[in-house]
Amino acid sequence: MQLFATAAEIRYKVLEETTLKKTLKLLVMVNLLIIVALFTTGCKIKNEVVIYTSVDRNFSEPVLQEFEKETGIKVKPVYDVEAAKTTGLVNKIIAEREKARADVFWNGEIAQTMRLKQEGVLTPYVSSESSELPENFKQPEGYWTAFGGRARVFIVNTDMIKGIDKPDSIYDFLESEYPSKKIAIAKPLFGTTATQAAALYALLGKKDGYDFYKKLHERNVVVLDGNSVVRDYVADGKLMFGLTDTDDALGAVERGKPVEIIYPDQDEGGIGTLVIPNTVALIKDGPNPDNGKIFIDYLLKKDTMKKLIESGWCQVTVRDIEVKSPVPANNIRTMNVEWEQVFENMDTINKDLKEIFVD
Amino acid sequence: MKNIRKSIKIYEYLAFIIFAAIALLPLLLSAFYGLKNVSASPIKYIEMIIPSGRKGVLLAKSTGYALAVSSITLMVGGWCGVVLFSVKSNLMRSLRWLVLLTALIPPYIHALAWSDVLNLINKRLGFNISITGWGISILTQSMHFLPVAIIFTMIALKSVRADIIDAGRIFHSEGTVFLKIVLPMILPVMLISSGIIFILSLTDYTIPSLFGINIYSMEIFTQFSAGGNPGDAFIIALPVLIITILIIMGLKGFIKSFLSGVLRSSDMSSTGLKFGSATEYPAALAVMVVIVQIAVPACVITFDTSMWTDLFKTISGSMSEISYSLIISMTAVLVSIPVSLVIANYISEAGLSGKIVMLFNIILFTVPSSLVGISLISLWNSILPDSLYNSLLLPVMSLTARFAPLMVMIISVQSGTIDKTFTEAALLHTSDRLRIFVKTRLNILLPGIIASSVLMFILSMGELGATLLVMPPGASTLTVKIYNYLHYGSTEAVKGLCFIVFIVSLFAGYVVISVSGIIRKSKSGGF
Repeated sequence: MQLFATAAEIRYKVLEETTLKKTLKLLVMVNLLIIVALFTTGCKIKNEVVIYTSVDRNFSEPVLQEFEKETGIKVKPVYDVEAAKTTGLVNKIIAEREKARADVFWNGEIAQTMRLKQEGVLTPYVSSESSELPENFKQPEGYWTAFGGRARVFIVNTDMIKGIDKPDSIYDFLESEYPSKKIAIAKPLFGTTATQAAALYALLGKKDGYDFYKKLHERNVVVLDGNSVVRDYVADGKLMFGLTDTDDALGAVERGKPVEIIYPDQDEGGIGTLVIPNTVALIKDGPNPDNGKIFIDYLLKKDTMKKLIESGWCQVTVRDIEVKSPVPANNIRTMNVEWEQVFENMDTINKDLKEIFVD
Repeated sequence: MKNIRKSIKIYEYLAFIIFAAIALLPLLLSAFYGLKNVSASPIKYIEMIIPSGRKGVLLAKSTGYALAVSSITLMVGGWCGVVLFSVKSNLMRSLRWLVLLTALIPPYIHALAWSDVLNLINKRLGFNISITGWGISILTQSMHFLPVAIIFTMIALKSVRADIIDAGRIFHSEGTVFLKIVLPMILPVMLISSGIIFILSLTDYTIPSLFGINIYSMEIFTQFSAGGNPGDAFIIALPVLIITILIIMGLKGFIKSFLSGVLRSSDMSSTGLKFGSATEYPAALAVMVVIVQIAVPACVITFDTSMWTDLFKTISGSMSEISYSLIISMTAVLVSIPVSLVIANYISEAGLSGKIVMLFNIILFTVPSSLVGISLISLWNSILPDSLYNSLLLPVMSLTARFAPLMVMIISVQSGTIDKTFTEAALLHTSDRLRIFVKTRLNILLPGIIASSVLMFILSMGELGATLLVMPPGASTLTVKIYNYLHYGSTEAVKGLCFIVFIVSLFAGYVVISVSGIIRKSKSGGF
């Protein structure tokens, strides 16, 4: 009996050891697998390009996928999000200046691209596809190239505006005909709304520009968190009209909402509608500069521009391209501004408008 | 809790180091940067810590929003939970399972579903119900959290002693018994669920941002985006952190009684709650609310014919996002299991130090998601080589930091059910605590580990705030893709993607229910 008890004890101990060892082996294997996965997923693929883009994902993604299909270069995109507007992505590029992780910055506007040039995080590249672009669409030293354009427009709820004249100028925001609680702009501290503010400062002068926004604020015009929010509130019937971008407005039109898009200030003598171009730039010391150049060439091609217009992202082309736009912008009177002057005003409007709208 | 340990073992040190590196140290570093900024410009930062002007109004509105959601879910969810628990019919039994099954559906699916339903109502009936703003956001958030309130209420009812109910019935009517005996006993647990819902509504911006309203937790994200300074982001987050800590402190006593109550098996189901004819209509209303809460996302997602025609194209076009989400969620769960097990075991065995660890754990769970992401970037951006920084590591760490504390809490609660004398008896035979753990506790904890793993997996699949910040170039989760597309409104592609998430959530809910069944069978209890 004693012998059997001992044998049973030994067998029990051996089994215990085996179970424990099995458990530990399994844990070690799983963790090794995790570590291998972590190291291998971060490894650089040979033929890739990293694109940071502030262009809304549903417009930019098809272009990037098409590029990947045509060239075989793996695209690694980083998209902007509505909450951060363009500023988050731009700050990310600046923060990564010691060790650039992006190759190309494709921006839906221009001011932040100019800021990147000022910060010294861009490198010049003049694409052969840019030859037909106007001179003011090309940075003289080749640090960025502008193309296409989106307009700053009114989105008007046609049900709510019945019986009243439709707005046709940004100065209608100051008219008592339109109740202030029924009209809106996006907060003018980010994105294209900030660019428009800087453009007005450049066009009208700092004093008149400041006075315009001060009066807006004193009138208690509704200030919402983004262009898409303005669009949604107008489409929803909460507001009569608001200022937004053409691509945002188009979203509401395509969803069958009772809205209309109006290009402001088209009258003779009017200041014109601001058209904000897209810009593309090569990041300094990016990991894949050659592929970055190939992407810039692709983006600036007329075919790509045609697709961007057909999708509704851009409405204005400064080259001879035959295309049907869902938001026609033929022969519109555009605001005549120098982009360098617009950029110079960015810091001023940031300070002024923060003082008016935030503090 | 009697401290039955003599010393901390090396694997416990390792678990604490890993947990600290992922969850605690990044937060402490942001706090350090924040304090540095404060000492450099005290006046400027004191204004940030005590928000005034626009930020003050925003914090007040956000707190009011969270209060509205938690109050609605407390009252509606509480009543629905009581009705579902009490009424004995096959329909009720089915509804209970459906509530559990649909509890894990992500918030953006509710947002999509309710905006579609209200659009349809406006179109067909000529109403003008707003589909943006505070109203629809509160409705959607409440619907999203309703199952949480219902489940907590049913758990609370489960632990009420039947003999007390029977004694009360001798002298009083059913209504009086409910109001004077049952309700005071279940109220602490309902308040815990209300507190959790309050914290989650205050710290998550997914639903409000989709309906065009700004809440305070979004400021943390935009502050970091605007300035790139983690210290500033931490200072901005401080008011929210203080509010959540105060809530937890206030609920501390209730949490303790919840833990002791939930462990007590009860035969409440055999005596049940009975209601008179006066409560028929309110009970029917409660059932309708539950059916609507389940049916709206289910029907909108599955019965949209336009979504089905392009479903294959939608899925094939999003394979990289689907696989990336699955991989990082599963990896986060695998990393969290051993770490959480060890920490939960420590909490259940250690005395005061265990309570301190649990307190830190609860606080880490309530940190706003964007602050988690920001803190990870601030710590690891310059330390990690590119091959690791651009890998799965940061997204996995962000999910672990967000949800491992929840796993620790669940396993700790279950650890509390294990009789300590088992461990003490085993200690007589061996001093090897790891062997004791594997042989005596692991089998008992296994259902809880599985349930918390599935819960963590599905929460990770739906996570937005932290992963948005730490995803490397070229990578995107399904949730981030859906969120980006949803800003343009409901489309077939978005519905297709939401359908995938919906099916995964249902499957996860099914696994949790099955595991709960195993736990129930082992305890011979049940709803």
